[in-house]
Amino acid sequence: MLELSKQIILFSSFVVLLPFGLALFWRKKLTGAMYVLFCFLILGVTTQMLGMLTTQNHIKNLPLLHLYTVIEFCWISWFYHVAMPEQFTRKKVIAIMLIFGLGATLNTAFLQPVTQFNTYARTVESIIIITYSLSFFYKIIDEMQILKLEKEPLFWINISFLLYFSGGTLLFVFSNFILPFKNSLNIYVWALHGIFSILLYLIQSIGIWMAAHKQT
Amino acid sequence: MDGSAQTDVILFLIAGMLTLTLLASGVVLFFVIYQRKMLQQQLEHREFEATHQEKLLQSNIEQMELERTRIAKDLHDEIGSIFSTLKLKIKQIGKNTSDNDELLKKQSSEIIDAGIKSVRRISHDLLPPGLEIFGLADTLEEYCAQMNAPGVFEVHYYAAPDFNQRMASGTELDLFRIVQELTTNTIRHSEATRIDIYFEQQDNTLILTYSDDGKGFDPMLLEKGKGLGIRSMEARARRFNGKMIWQSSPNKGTKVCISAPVILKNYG
Repeated sequence: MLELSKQIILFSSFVVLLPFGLALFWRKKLTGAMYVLFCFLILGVTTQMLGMLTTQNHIKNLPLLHLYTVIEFCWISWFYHVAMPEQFTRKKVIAIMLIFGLGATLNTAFLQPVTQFNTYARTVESIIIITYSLSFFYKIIDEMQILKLEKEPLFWINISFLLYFSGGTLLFVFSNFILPFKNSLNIYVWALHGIFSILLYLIQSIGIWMAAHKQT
Repeated sequence: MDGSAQTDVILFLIAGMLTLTLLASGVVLFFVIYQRKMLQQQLEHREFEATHQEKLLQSNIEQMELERTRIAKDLHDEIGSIFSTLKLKIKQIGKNTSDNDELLKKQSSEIIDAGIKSVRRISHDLLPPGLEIFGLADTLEEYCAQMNAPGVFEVHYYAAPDFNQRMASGTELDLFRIVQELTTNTIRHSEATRIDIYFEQQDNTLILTYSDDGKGFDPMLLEKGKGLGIRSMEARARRFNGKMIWQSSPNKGTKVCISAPVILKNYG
């Protein structure tokens, strides 16, 4: 079981390559919010590579998480701004990004230094992204413009964010608390997180596929 | 915290994570089902609206035809007969009249003749008299001949040599009205100098091809919305299960192809 969990964690580090590869292949067909997602995937791949490099060289990479949280949040916020410009106007989204960025920086400076998980920032990030996602569903119901949901790329991307951040929220809240626990127990929990990551990137791959094959 | 307590916390955490994921999946599922339901309702509502509109249009057409028939008969039977009686009375006025009176008699007679012609023309326009007796092909031929003005505005009518079928009177009237509306549109809007109408039968389908050499229009306009005239023509075509296909582009004239299943006139 422990070995399987380790394999899942390792495998989840590489899954990002699938949507990234698809997005790279069909980059000319990705427009608007889907192009923002492509850029987000570049960030994902870069962070994964840096994470693996630092781990191999026995360098603590928690500081990377603090930085990644802010960049990831800004990118996802921009994604939802492009997907729902009327609900999340440029001004509104920039304000949210600035407030979050400032909060996350203050958190790192005074509450949770780079040697710890930034649980507060990650939790707030999850809650805001879940709110974005639910707003997106509300928009679809309200406008009733999409006839075939399963063919709509943004629908898939939205599901991927909703599932990943819903599943991950509790872990983000307790990650510092469980850090001193037995290593094997931590591995089980992070394996579950790995499954969420795999889900996130697989569903995003479906979204990218749909975007590339969307009839205009 | 001892190992057992740690395990409990981890189990609680994993259970919590899975519960939240299931909850999120439930939200997605609920959303998908709800959206489909709403869409279905919207679709049903639109279908209901379209059916209602179609019924209204068909009822309007029927009422219009009834009213036209009534007016045509009233004009012909009442006003026409009044004019004829009046003409007879004028003829009966004594012959020992002055030259001035004779001139008045002649002028009155001419006015009455013009009145009779007008009544007949209006009556025929409202209800083509030959349609019931001679059928659509002959009526169309006469209609085109009346409009034809060689060198100025030419209307050419062709019927396939073997075409001699009679259809249900309602169908013939609807087809005639469609051609009437098409020619009116051509004259009013297209700046055309020539109209061609071709009438043929292929197997069990009657095909009427109408074309003009006018300024045409952008077919995208039809996609955006159809005017009352076009909707009315299409509604008439639907009455006999017919189809209308429009072909046009700016400065290249307009072609309309009307196809209808042949349902022969029931003489029984």
